[in-house]
Amino acid sequence: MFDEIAAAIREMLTRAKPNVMPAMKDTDDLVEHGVLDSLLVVSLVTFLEERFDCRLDYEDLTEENLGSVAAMARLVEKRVGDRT
Amino acid sequence: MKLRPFTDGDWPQFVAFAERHFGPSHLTDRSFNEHWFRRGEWTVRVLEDEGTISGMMMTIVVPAKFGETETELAWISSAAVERQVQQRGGGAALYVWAYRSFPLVGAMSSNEDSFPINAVMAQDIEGVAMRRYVWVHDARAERLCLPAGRATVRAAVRRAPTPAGRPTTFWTDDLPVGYDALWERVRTGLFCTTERRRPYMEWRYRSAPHVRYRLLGVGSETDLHALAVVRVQSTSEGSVVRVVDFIADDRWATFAWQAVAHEAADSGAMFTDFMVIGSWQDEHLREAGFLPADATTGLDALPHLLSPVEHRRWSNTFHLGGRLARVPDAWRHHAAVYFTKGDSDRDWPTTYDLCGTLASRA
Repeated sequence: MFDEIAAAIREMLTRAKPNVMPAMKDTDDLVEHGVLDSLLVVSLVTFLEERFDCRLDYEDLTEENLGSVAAMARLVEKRVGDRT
Repeated sequence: MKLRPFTDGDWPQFVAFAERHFGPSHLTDRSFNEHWFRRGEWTVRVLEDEGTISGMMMTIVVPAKFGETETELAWISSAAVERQVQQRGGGAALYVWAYRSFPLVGAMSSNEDSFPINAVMAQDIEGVAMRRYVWVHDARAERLCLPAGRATVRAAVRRAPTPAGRPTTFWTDDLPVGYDALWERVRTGLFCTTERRRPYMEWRYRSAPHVRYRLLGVGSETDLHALAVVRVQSTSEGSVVRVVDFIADDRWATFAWQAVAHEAADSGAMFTDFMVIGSWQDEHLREAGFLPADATTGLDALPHLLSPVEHRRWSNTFHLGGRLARVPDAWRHHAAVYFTKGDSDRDWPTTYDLCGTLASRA
């Protein structure tokens, strides 16, 4: 599950930031590389909720959870688990 | 970085933040904020980063009607986030908070920063945009326009005839006794709208800081057929009558619009306008003689008169989100929705108004 979620996040971020994302690892710091902005995070939230049928709340949107592709994937995996 | 409710103790920091992002404005006036953003608790969220306010989301919460449900609608009003916090998801957290915390969330005429986020979080219904109707009474109105639009505005000047052989019209500062019955009749035909019961109307128009509203009634104090809420806005060139809310029985609506235009012309206003989301009043407005202020008439040359950028173009968009908005399809039609300039924050005092207030206090 984790890999599937991470791949989906990577795919979306790559579409949004094609010049930055291909060179980045899943554990690289997205904030440090200037990948994120408000619109992209909001888009990611709605995309991931729909794709993985889970619910992310504003309290989930911390620097820690958004810091890398891997961190985001862990969060979504946890929220998918909460559902069941 | 922490998202938390705004508290009284945040005020000094809030003022500094608001001035940094919006310049000197009504937003730093405590009484103004108390009125609009406090319904018991503050309806403002702040982002705190190492003890400093680095973002805020201000919502105006009003009673709303959504089908048969009486609920709350939060208008997304002012929002701002420091740039470094945006890159850490701070702005997104504020928007997600707003859209997830209220049953209905409205965003009117988004700007280039907020439009894409609203487009993701909420729904933009085809045919349900903000539109504006105008009646140009006096050629002085052209002086407010950029040169390219002046001739069109001058050519649109028309006399507003006296509505004849019909019921009485009357001006008042207080909601007539018959208003409650009028609203109860009208609200049944609207699916998604502000619940304009007396307490809301008193709060919104009677006790609003900085702006004075007048009411034009059609019928009598006890047997009311229509009510227009009017703000007379001063400009450097003369006054403008802005209808910010309008409630009418269908059979009297056209007459009421004619009466508004006639009274406005009589008072020396340069033009009358009405901004609306939803098509409920379209037919009546056109029948009465109002014209759409858009590219088809060229009357979009008339500025919206929202300081400080008088000729700023509005996006005229409308987005509706929140958990209720996701469910039924019944509201997704232009005739089912009715919001006016009196809703949201489209009717705040302008810098021109505030300067006038300050001058009169001095």
